[in-house]
Amino acid sequence: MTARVPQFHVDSEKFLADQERVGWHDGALWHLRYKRDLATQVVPDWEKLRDQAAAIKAHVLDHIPTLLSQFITNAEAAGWVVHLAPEADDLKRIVLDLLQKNGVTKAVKSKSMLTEECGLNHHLEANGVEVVDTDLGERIVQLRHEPPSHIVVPAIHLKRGEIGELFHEHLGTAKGEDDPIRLTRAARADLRKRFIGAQAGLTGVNFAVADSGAIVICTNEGNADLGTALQPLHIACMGVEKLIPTAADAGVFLRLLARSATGQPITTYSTHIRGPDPTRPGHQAHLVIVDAGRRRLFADDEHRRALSCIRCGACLNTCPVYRRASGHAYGTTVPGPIGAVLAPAMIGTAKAKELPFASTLCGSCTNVCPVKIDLHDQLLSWRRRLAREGHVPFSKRFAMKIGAQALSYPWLFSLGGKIARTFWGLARKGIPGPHAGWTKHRDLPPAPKQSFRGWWKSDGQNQGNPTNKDQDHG
Amino acid sequence: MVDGAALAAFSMRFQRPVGSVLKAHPGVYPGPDLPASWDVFATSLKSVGGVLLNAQPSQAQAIQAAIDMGRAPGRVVASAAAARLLTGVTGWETARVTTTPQEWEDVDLAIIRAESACAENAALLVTSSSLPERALAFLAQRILVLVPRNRLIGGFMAAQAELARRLADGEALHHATWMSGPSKTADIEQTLVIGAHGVCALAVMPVDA
Ligand code: SF4
Repeated sequence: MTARVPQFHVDSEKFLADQERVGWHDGALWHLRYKRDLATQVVPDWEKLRDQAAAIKAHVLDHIPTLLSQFITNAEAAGWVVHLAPEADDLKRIVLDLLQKNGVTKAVKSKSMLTEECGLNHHLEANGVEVVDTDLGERIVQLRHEPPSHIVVPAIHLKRGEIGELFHEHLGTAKGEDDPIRLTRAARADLRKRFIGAQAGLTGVNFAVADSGAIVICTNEGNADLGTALQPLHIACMGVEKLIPTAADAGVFLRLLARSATGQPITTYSTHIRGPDPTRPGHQAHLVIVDAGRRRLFADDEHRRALSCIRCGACLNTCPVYRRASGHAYGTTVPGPIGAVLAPAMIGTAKAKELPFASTLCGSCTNVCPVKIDLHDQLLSWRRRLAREGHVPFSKRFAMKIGAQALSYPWLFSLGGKIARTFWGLARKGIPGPHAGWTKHRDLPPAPKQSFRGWWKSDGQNQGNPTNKDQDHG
Repeated sequence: MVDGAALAAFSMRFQRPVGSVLKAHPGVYPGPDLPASWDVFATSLKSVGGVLLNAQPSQAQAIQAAIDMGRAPGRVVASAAAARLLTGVTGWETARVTTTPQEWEDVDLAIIRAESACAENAALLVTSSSLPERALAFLAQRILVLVPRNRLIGGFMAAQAELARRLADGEALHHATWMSGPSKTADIEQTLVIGAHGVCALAVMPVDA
């Protein structure tokens, strides 16, 4: 991941400063979540499918060495040249070497969070290779010299007017043009020229199938296909966790991925590739298998499961914190709940110490995750570890201690409740002091006049609702 | 070949400690028994932006109408596998074997043959066996996919299982793509735009094999 230290509390402020944009961003992502819900409801075996996916991934994580060697044997038989990259620097060196040896000055790249995380583009550009990101959203953020803010829709933080301005400057569209169809057509025309002119295509990998040496790449735009079917050199980069045992297993993930991501029944193009194309003499196919810190997550018994992630983005779309703070606030390549789980292992707890706190622990991420990663439990366990390691700032530590004590002493809990109900009412206009961040951008619901216990004792046992006329949050 | 010692060192990092209980593979998942119905396929196809055409009044006439489709077509190129299904149809050329697929850049309409179709998600299977001219299917502006009427599969688990069997049996496939509708993107403000980098329109016609 990027070397930069994530500063969630600072970076989220920047996005939150524009409340109109926050509301719009929130709504756009909720729309994706809504489409996901509709798509999953019509699948008769959705929960069974998630169970199956989770079980396959659990099996994979227990058998990486065996699956890896089976995959490599089959991949080499299919003509792939396989490279191992223990560190991000190895990936950069291997790819640059291959490009230079083949005299490549222009390359196209389809979406790959791994190469983003390793800073591959920058390294290649610095060494004289022009790399064009071909996923439309990635192309937009590349032209703006900024990282993606989402793993599936990388430019979701931008409005059409800003993209129109950008395309006017770089692609010569008319000034003021902000129609998504015309902007997409302009990008299409420009990128098709680049697909044709490129001497190499770089791609990521969604699934690496051990029993057949195939990689599976999923896109809606067709950019991974245009970025492999035309160029004489294909270099695919994958994290070691992308292994799956069989081609039949791929069916499970293909049924889950797009439904979870955008609500489509399957990605528009789900392509299996095995080695070089025999119809194009001289065509080369290379596969770089990367660790780059995954071993640290693997060695962590509490968080190893996070390696099962298939990068669908559903946990981002559903997260109330992500939807309002946007991806750049996280300061990591993968933002949102899964990003906050991966980061402490990948870049270290000291650097990532704020991220596990960027969550309400509402558990929605866990509910939508197609491979059943227990995301909110993982965030909680990171918080515990951060506290043990002394990485939790005083105000948070103080609050947590009070919380822990309150829960273990019932009398303190009821006393605290009384104080809190009064304080809650006062705090509706903004909590002062170190907790100010909590109310700056949200209003608290009105406090009930009675505690739950009090209500239960008086008339709650006979009636329907706590007595509170002006409150709508139960 | 990857160096054995390097692979061993790499793998070691992902080795569970001796004595760990390792989880077994859950076994083949057959999935639900979904109907192999062209009506279901049509609904799925519509939802992903594609069009279903009937081979009426005759197959040749229907394909001819699809080629003309209300306007004078530009260059129409059929894959070799599709060309065999085009007797009686005019105004097209067969894709010639080429090492420079870039030459299909100006194709207006590609006609290809899919090996199977899946009702659950409107996915159509093309592989290096039916479509060695792979780039044609992505460079064309529009695409007409002919698929044998009797090759419709209900659920995607069964459809993918069939492809998996072919791979396991050692069929030397270089590529296999499930195509579901025309290319699309929603990267600008979540507005769905049909026609990203690949084809801008996709029609499917079930045909007699
Ligand atoms: S953690 Fe789960 S929900 Fe989040 S991106 Fe990964 S697979 Fe999707």
